[in-house]
Amino acid sequence: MNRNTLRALFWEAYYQVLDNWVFRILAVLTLLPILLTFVVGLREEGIVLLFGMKRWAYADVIGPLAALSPGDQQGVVIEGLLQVVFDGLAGTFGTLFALAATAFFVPRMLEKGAADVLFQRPISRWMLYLSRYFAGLLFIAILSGLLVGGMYLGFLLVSRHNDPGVLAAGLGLIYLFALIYSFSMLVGVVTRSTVASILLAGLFFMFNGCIHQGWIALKQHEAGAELKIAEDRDDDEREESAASADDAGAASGDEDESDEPGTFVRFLFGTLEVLHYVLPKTSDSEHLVAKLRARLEPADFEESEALLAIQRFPDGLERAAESPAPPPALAELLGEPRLTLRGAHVDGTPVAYTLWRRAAQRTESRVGTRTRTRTETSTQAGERLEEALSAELARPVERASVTLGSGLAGPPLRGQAVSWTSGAAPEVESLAAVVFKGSDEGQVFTLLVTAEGELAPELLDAVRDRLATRIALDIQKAGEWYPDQLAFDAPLPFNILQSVGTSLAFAAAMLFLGWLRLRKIDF
Amino acid sequence: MSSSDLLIATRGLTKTYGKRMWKRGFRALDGVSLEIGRGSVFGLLGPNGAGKTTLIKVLMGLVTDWEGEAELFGERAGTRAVRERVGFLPEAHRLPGYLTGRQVLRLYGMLSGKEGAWIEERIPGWLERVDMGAAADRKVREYSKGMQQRIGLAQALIHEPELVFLDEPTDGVDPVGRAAVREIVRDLKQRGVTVFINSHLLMEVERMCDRVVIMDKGRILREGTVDAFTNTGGRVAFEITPVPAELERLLAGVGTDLTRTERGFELVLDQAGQDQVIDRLRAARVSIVSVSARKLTLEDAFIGLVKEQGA
Repeated sequence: MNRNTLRALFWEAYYQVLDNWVFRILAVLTLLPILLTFVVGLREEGIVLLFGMKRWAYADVIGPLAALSPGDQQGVVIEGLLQVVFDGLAGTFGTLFALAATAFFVPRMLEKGAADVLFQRPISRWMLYLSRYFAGLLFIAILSGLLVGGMYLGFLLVSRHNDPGVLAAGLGLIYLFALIYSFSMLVGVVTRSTVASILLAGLFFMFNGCIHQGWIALKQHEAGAELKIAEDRDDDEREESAASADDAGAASGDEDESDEPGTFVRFLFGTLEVLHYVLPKTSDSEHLVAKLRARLEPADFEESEALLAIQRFPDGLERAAESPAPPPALAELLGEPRLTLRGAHVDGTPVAYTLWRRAAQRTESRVGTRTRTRTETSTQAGERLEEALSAELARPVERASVTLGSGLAGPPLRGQAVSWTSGAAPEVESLAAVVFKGSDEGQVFTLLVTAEGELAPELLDAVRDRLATRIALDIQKAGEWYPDQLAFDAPLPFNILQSVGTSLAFAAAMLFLGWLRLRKIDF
Repeated sequence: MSSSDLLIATRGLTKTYGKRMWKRGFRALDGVSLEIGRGSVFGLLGPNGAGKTTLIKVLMGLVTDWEGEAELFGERAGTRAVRERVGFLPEAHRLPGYLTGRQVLRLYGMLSGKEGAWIEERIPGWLERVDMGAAADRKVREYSKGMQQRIGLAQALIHEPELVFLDEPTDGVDPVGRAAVREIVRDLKQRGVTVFINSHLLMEVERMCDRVVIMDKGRILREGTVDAFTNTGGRVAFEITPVPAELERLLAGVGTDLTRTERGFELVLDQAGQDQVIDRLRAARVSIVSVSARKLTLEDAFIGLVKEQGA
């Protein structure tokens, strides 16, 4: 096959795509969210219409949702919008529409009259078949490129939000479509019917999603059971150390055989397992995109064990290499410094933030012959901080519950806050501390805020919340169990290479079967 | 004919459609053996279902799983190298409606392996020859049937093949267009291109072709020159006035198979016999209006042959 033939095939695919009326409709629909990003600016300070013609606060427009993450409302709203557009509209409806729009490529190529003209050329049937596959990919690539690129530019120019990671979503859409379209093409070449191709590919898309989600649920259930068994053993070990050998002996090794699934259920699980490995993992595409996105646009700060992250530091704050010494009275309650930021608040007040981490206290109590281990909660940690400060300052310190940051998909973090002043004029400092925990029960975090001068309580709260509300559980990691399992170095069932490899192998097998059928067709 | 002169050679070519383990299928070609040299215009004739299109499609590689031998240019039919040298206008073809006529020629030229610049250079000439210059930039879906046929013909020839199969080339084309098609075929022949025409318009075939192959029921019935098919063996028609009552006596001993017609008579005779007949008629004061060699039309010959085989 020479270069001219390849050029001709690409060129023909391009014209075929541009001529498609569904493509045109989808292109217009794609322009709508892009237009939205150019007309409505989601800026850090609020929402602006038509480059500032009208302005609103986030709370006025999105109501209670604004309270979820008061520190990074822009990030939360944009993230939510991207999820709706990419995962919901483009990832599901867009893919189905694209399948419907491209389903005729193969049946039409094989129609009498059209096939005679095309297949007489000195090109192998395999190349002609593959050219239709790439025509489909070109179809989705143009649309997703338009959608992703347009929205990225809109957010960058109008909302002043630079998130190059969003471009990864385009790759995800192409990957997802490439997997399903290979099946659609096989149906097309076997039945030579566009309608059959649309219906069966749509059904396959949904069936495939069900299989994959079912498998994830099964694995999550199994992992939960394993975790429970492990916890029980820990208890047993603890009990063994505290209770008599007889009691411990009675408590250990108790496996309930009635929990074992029956033969039919085991057969179903086995079938699910086989189908999962054979079929393409379409549901993984959005998780893979999220991971790719995280690589392209990493968080400014991450505490991986506790799944805590600060996606972006507030403007005007810089990371400091050295952390300040902890106040002597609080040293034991703060632990080790993890992050220090210095700079100025929006009103110019010099401020410093330090995030501290220590191990949570564990207390043991005996109930009869059993020993119970309790881990310090964030409220208890707050109480300890309050007590220590009250003792140091020789006056009561007020403690309040506060909400830290969260994303739309993640749970909000709750903490205990205290504030006080230190030093005497003119060297007085206003301080605030928020005690909280991440996903790891064994760790306690304290955000200590220091501002120069004696600030009004509301201003000190605002200074504190400026960073506190950006500390959130990693949405992607904390929101679901499965995405956290997916990794390049994970065991085989959750290995990204396995997921991508078997999915692409499925697509290749579909193309191969299609070619086997095509090479036997008499035109 | 030596094997190097052969353009098409088939031996015992058989193709059965729908053959399964439990099903005999339909035999479209039944042991077709054919040898065709270079530089002629061939007419491929036969009733519906005779196997004409299947034969062409086997040679073009559009049909698989055939038995026997089929070669073009000395190579197995259907290979990529062979297809580069062949042009094909299928019957009831459908060109991509989303392309313009000019784009169609560019596409198929490039798909035939030619350089873009080489194709671009030739496109205006071919558009002109098929009289599609004015409509070249309109979408194919806007074309009439005749216009599609013209562009279809151009796409079969754009890469300058050595062998061309034209399946119903004048289908849907107006008289002026048909004349243009004949002109193109004549020109191809002059350039040494071998043309294979499959058509039901036998008058067109008769006017364009040197040789004819007649097929029926998957077999070749007869192959030869057009003259061989239409020649009646020296039969001459005389139109005379008045027609003498004793015509048989007047022409006794000259020619054979004398038959009276409405305005004269016909008989089989050679040139010397023709002179004798004229002399006798003039001596009997009979006026000779016309003398013409009697030939069958290709249609007559075709129908006769097919009926004969059917019987």
